[in-house]
Amino acid sequence: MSQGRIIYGSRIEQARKLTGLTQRELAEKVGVNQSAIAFYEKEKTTPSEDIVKGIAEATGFLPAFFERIPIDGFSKGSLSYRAYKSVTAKEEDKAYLNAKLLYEHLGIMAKSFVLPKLQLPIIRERPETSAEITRAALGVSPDVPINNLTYLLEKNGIIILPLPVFLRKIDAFSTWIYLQDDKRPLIAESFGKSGDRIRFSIAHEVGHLVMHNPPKSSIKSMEKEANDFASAFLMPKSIMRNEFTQPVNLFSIAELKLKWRVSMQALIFRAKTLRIITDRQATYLFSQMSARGWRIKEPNNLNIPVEKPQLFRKLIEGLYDSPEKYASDMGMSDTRGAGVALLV
Amino acid sequence: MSAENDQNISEQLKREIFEDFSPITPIIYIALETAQSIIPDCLDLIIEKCKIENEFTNKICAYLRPTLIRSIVQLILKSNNVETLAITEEKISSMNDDWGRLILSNNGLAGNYAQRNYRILKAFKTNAIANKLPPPGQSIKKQKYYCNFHLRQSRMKLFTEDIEQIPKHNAIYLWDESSSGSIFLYLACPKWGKGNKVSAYFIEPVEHPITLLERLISPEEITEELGLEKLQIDLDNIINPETENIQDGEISNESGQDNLWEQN
Repeated sequence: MSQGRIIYGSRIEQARKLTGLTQRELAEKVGVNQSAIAFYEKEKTTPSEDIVKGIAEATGFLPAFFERIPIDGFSKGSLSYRAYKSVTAKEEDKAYLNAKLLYEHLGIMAKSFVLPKLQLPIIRERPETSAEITRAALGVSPDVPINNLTYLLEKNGIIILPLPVFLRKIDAFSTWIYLQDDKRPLIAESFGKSGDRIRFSIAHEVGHLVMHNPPKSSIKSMEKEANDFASAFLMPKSIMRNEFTQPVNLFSIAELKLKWRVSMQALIFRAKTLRIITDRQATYLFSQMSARGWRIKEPNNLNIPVEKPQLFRKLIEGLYDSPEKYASDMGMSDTRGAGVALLV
Repeated sequence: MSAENDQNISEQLKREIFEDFSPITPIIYIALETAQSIIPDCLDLIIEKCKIENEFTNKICAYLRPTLIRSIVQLILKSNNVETLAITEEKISSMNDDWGRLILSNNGLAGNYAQRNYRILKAFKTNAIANKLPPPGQSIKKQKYYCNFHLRQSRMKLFTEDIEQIPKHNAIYLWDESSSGSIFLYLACPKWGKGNKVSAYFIEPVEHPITLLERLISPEEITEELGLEKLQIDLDNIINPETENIQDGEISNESGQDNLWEQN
């Protein structure tokens, strides 16, 4: 290794946390004590070449990774709104670190491409109105279903990054990043779930990006607004009043699910919000779904296909002959890191 | 007739009846579910409009509910071109409390489809279908409807060209509700019944119509290719600008572009 090399402590910490290791566990693998790892991470001492190799082996990164200047400017965004949900700080941290790593890769690769022009409004309106304006800005008519939400957003310059499947407890989070000198919205999404749930999570994050930039009011009210936005964005009020034909029943809701590609539960909520059905009818429909176990898992024959983001994959394909080459360029010893395995 | 034969006949009948009724079964299921979902609001409206006092509310509702369900189901079926008749003429002689409450719903609806008679009946006691049809009681018409066992023998004795002359077995749609009000539907073929005794060739649960909906979306359908324009930029310069271009202790970037991360 060359003289004057710098091993960045935050890189060691990043690699360790991405691998899910504690300082003690990493220390055992490398053959040092826990305090040594703590010292490396705080840059109080510099690890020897052999130890760096050991850390690299234990974490799945290449030694060169630890010499890369760490990046800043990747805020937690809406991930910090989820504090009240049943997600542990460790899970939240892992989701953040995975997304941050992909953001770093994105920043490197995107320099070689002209990215789609950003078309996303910033609005200080109520969710229903914000959703209408956003649909119009994205070029979607108010009376048609959005068949491929992920594609629509990517085409309009919104970055969608896939989080690893094991982070399924974190549905999604969004933040604003700098890319090619521009401020751009980014949504990190965990894809180990049903297609309709993923679509709703993404639409929820679009709501945050559109309405909560900068954040306003309480987390609880922002979350509610984002949910209302997602409902209105995926199921516009003007057309839904015609779509729900009376009397509303589970069968008609199932048919609407296939058309609008949202869950049956989201449709029942929407019908209730728009006063198409009474609260009691909604309760009854939900209890019918519960009785058949459909509130946990809606019938298989109604599965909505998962929409896969394309931008990140296309950047890799456009620049590299193989996933392995991409991984090594990014300082990883294989393609298992972050959500990359999902793409390559 | 051996038990094995009996089993074969039941299985064959089940296939025939399920197939004959396949176009109307989902409609009946949905009609029952829909009626069940709107009944509470209907009853509230009636109580409010008629200014019924609280103390009578439960009694009135218990009496009206089965009739309302039957009427609403009949209306929904009619709007789907399935004609039925409300069964009103068959009185049940035993008028204890249970029967008194259930008389209207248990008289149900009657229809004919694919040259086969069917009735839509509420299960005798909530959550207690347990492979049992509601008994016909003393009603002669009901007993006749339940008496199906001779038909099979008649049909078996005849040649194929004459078989259409023999009436088909009568069928029964039996519905029940869970404690939360969810509807469960069964299709049955009665064999015989008198008084409180009854037997059936089969009583088989009907799958919820939702599970029969065909998947309309294929994964290919949502694949639209994202177009990206590639620039002629040396990636190595972007990945390792600081190691590639160190000159006289200064970091420069040959591509001339700002370091991406300095933006942040």
